[in-house]
Amino acid sequence: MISDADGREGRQRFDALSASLRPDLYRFAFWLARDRAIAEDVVQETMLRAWRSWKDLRDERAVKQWLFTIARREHARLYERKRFETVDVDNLIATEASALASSDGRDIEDLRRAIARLDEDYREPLMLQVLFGYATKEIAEHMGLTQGAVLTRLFRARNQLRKQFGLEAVADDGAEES
Amino acid sequence: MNCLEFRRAAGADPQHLTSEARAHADACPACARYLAEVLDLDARIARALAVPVPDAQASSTARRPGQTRRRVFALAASVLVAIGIGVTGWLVLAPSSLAADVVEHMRDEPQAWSSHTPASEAALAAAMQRGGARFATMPGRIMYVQSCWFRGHYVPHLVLETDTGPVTLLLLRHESVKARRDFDEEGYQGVLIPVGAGSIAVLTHGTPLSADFATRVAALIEWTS
Repeated sequence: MISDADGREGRQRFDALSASLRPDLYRFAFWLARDRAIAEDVVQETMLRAWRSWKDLRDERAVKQWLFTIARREHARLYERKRFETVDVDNLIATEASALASSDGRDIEDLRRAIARLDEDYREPLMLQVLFGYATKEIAEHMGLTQGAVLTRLFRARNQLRKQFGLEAVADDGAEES
Repeated sequence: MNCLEFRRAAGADPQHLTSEARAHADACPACARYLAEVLDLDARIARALAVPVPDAQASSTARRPGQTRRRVFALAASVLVAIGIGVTGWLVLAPSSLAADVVEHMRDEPQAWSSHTPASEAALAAAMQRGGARFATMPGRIMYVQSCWFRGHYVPHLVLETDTGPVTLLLLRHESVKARRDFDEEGYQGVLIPVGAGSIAVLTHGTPLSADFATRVAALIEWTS
């Protein structure tokens, strides 16, 4: 049985970890949804569910991956199906113009728009690798794919961005992901 | 390995190339250039993905019943924009210090601290060449390499593995500092050290920074151009 002291300590630990990981979690949710309001909803739902299961977490070092897994599920459960038929990327990018704007210059802003246009199958592994430092094996576990499929998606994501920015694209054999 | 195979491998996982791929890049200037392009694009992708995060307090108050989340978010966003205008005005008027710019750069590249596998030698060579720097001897195991756009120049951004945690180096060939200067800003503990006509920034995030270690690393840097 958990005592009040244990409960308070657990809550404090959870609050501290969730505060430190909130920026990463928000960015993860934002690039899944490409929508600030949905991203905030996903973050909030993820934190609620994480707190309910907090006592079952055995390894705090894995907490970020755990939160991302919950957020991915929440995003799919709450919004993905609802938006599937209606999402219009041009409209979405126009709506989220201020989120995609950058004080770092037009180059970064253009890149944000290009990333937002990537298919989610390519956008998510690219984000996990480049922004969060995931190894391809970890991405494969997170997304339920083979490592080969992850490598293919990462190559295609970069290749599409290269094309959009006038860099020479590499021939893609169009092979199915293995 | 041929050029097409190399480019597919580098386009998928440029930080973790096999020894065969690294050997190919060493022998093929065109593929070495391709790798440098991929690493440059990755640095920009990382900055692009690091979108601003709304304030948590503003977000939680934006959940009052009777208002749609989007409307409330717009309200919170307008407050943030107002704050942003104020902050931007302050930034325009206030001179930006090198230490502050280094910390700002760190905040935009948070993934750098969390790599668990060593960076490839080819990636390191490409970043060092572009930044006009080399190590007299290697300072330790390098877990992360990027060639980053910083104050108008590409600079090598490296993360070294140490016993006390990851240590970041920015090799700033174009940034002259008169004397060694320690800084402690926003959870980043660091030091700027003069190296010839340039300098290096050495910093940690949440772990102690050894002054001796920073000095030893600085002594290993040589500018090549």
